[in-house]
Amino acid sequence: MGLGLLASKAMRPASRIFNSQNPRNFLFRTIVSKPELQKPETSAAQAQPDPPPVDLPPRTPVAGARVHFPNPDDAIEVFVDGYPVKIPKGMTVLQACEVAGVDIPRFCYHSRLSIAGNCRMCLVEVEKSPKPVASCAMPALPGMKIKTDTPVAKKAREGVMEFLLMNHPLDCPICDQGGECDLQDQSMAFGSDRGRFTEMKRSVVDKNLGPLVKTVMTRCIQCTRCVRFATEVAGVQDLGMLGRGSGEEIGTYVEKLMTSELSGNVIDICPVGALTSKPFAFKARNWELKGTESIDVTDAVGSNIRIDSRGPEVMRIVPRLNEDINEEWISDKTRFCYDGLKRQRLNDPMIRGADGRFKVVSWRDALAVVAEVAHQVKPEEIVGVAGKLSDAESMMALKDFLNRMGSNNIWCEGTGMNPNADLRSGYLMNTSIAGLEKADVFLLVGTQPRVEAAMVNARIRKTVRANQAKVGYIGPETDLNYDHQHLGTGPQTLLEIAERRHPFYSTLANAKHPVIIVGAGLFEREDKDTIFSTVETIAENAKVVRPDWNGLNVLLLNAAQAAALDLGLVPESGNSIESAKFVYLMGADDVNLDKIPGDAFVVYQGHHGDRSVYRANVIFPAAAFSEKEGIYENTEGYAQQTFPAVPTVGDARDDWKIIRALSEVAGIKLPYDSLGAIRARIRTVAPNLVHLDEREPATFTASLKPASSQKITLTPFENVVENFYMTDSITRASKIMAQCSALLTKK
Amino acid sequence: MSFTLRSVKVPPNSVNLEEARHRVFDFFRSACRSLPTVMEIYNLHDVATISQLRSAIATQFRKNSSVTNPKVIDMLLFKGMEELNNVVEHAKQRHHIIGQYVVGRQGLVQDLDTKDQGISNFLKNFYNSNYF
Amino acid sequence: MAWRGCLSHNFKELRILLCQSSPASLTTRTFVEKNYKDLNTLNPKLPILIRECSGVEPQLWARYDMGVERDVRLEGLTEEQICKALEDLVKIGESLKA
Repeated sequence: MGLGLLASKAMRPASRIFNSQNPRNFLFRTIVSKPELQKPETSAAQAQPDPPPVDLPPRTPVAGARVHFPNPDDAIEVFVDGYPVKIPKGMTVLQACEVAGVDIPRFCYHSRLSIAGNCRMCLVEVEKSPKPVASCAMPALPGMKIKTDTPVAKKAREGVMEFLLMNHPLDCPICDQGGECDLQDQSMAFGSDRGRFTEMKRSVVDKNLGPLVKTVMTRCIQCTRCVRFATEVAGVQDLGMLGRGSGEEIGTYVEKLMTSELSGNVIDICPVGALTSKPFAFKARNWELKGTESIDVTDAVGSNIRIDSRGPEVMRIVPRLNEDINEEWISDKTRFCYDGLKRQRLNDPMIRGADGRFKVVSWRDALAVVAEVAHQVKPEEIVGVAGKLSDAESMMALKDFLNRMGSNNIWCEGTGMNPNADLRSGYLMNTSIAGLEKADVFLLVGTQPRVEAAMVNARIRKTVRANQAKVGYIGPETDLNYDHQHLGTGPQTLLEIAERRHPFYSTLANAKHPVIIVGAGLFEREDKDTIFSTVETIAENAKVVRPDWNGLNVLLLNAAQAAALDLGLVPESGNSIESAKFVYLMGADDVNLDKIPGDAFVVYQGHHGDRSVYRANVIFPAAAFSEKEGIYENTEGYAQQTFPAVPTVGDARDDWKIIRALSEVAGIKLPYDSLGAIRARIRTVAPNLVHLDEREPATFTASLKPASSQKITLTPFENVVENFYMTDSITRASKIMAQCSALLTKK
Repeated sequence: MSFTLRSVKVPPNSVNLEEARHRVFDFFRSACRSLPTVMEIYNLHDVATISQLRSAIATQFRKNSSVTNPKVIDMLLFKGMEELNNVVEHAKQRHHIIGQYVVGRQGLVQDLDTKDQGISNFLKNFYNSNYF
Repeated sequence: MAWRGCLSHNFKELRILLCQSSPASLTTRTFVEKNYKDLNTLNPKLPILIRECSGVEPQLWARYDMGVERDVRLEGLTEEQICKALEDLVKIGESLKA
């Protein structure tokens, strides 16, 4: 038995002889083979040369992709299954087949990672080649004739699949990847119907990669996608391949957890169920889930996500493709914060009684109470603060309501006390996240992109790897996963660069596409105007801002900041909160609650019972981002909208509807009744917010502004985000984020 | 037996508004007179008082107070009598009575209070639910 | 001009909506480039929001107290006419306060 039998079967000439020879072998499975199948060259010679079928429609690239020709003169022509296609020079055979509309099965190849060529599933037949070639690694030469559906290619695929399944455990019923598993799909489509393996399968010990990634290494097919992702995209070299041959294992060698903020993406990348999501383990199958396309609000990047929900519960969050913002990746905070949506939710309006305890009341009563108090205070004592996760419609409604009550003291958390919202280029990422790829020198001022906006950091890393870009960093000691020079810790270094004394200035001035990224943490400083004007001087001296390239960027921290500044949420006086009598907190949990006077009437409208609820007098329950349709603008000015994936909790309402109802009860009815109406109102204030899925660049640069005359204080820049995993009310309520911050943050 | 008296063999068709009004008042009276029986049948002694049920019935009447067409009033009357018959014949069950007449949702029971007359559709729907 | 200094008394906020590239907003763009600096120096506390968006008609919005807003369409106006429109809005503001 065993190898001997396999060898004898392989050398068997024809089926008829075998059947008559060994009647006792009827228990063993036979694979019938014919002479034509064993000699593919003869079969090709017998079939006539195939002219390109002219009557069939022309083929379009796979998944409707567009082919980008960097030099149109350099296009070469290859033949895929008889069809001629034009491709740019340098493409591989697999990419050429994709352009021709043929999807070749693969496991180890990923379009965003380097080529490994170790799974061999992409083998195709190329004319004039003695053996099938790995299409992911072979560059396409002009005039090549590629055949993907010949018996040679098919046999190769079946063989590879058979080898892969040999040591793969029979885990489909308990594996989370079932239903979305590449191995399952490709074995159904390209594998043979039976296997010949009767030995014992090997098994591998599981590795502990942290509270986010569940590993069952027996299922691993050693495609090395996770190793390449970790080294190239995430920048941490945690994973590696140990051993040789069938004893190969992917692991960290030492007992190390994957602490990178992009570690959750290996779950999407792994084609089998070896690396899966630990919080999502055994919770649901993918065909039960309804996917809703939405936008992430835990940071200012606005990564596109798909919220998979089953009934009223969000089961998981997976990334969506958006080339401009997040490519195919999302950070760990985005991916795993969903269980915070189920804890500490506010679901009924509440009023604090005389004994200090909250009592559940109806909407009618709650609105009546708030409206009454709002009319009893003077207009300049009314203050409104919009929170980090507020959408544009609710901020517009709040601003309109407060303006009609006579107050102009409304701002968004994180924008500081005197925000300057005049010129859009002063608070947006003018280069656009996709434009960062062209840069060759970066100067990071007071920002730690790794914890503030992980996708921007990934893009900077991509540029550093591709263009060998130089990065200079001014701020507290931090760990960026690419080479950078730590130039200094405070404004002193900035002044030196502005006066052209610092050596980094020459690097900046000689760069073709320099980029300066200023962090939004600087908004909180008193001398922020001076710091910004120093940065603008640097930009002017080094020609960072030109008509064709604007390299001066601000990296915002919260999802609501860009829309807030676009709508003009600028307070009239900086310290209005200390003399306020009526404070309206719309999801604002990071307000310094000590500054609110003790006799002020505080209304909290939000979805989680986080910090500010404890000071509130009235609570209005609102909808979280997964339950409402709202417009969010990301840090580069790209307006996107979320869609409701699950119904609201309890008696909660949409934010803007609460304010509209409050305005009517208070007697100053706002003029909009529906989502379309409030968006029409936004169009009169900041029309770029209603141009969804489009980025409106800011054309007026800071040269228009008068210079600032304040004195610069030399306090060094600080870390704005202390704990990456717990930044807003949803993540603070999440158990997974608590585990991550306990285990994965570096102490 | 008592129910057969109330069930209308000839459906009402009033000539003018005046007659319809009389029929409505008679119907209200018969409904109120049957309330003690209803309380006994469905064992509502701990749940509601007779006056609460009476005002619930009155609210239902008041909801249609602006109707002027006698034929429409007759139709509503017919439906009301049918409902009363069902209740008295024990064709309904306790949870129906409690759900429909004792615990109304805020909007149903307090619908026509004077303070609610001037509010817009938006606010009415807002008090009801988030999705409108 | 003296009235430029008292903008912040009359307005709570000034918004200029324009398109980045269309010819209709050309005069508005030049107006902003020339006058933003001194309007801002004279009225440092007044938010003068410049919002560019492609395909939008040029408009000038002024927000007064108690949420009252007035807008002026700036399409086809020359720079002096835009200045004049701004002055008119100031006068409306003064009359609203009185």
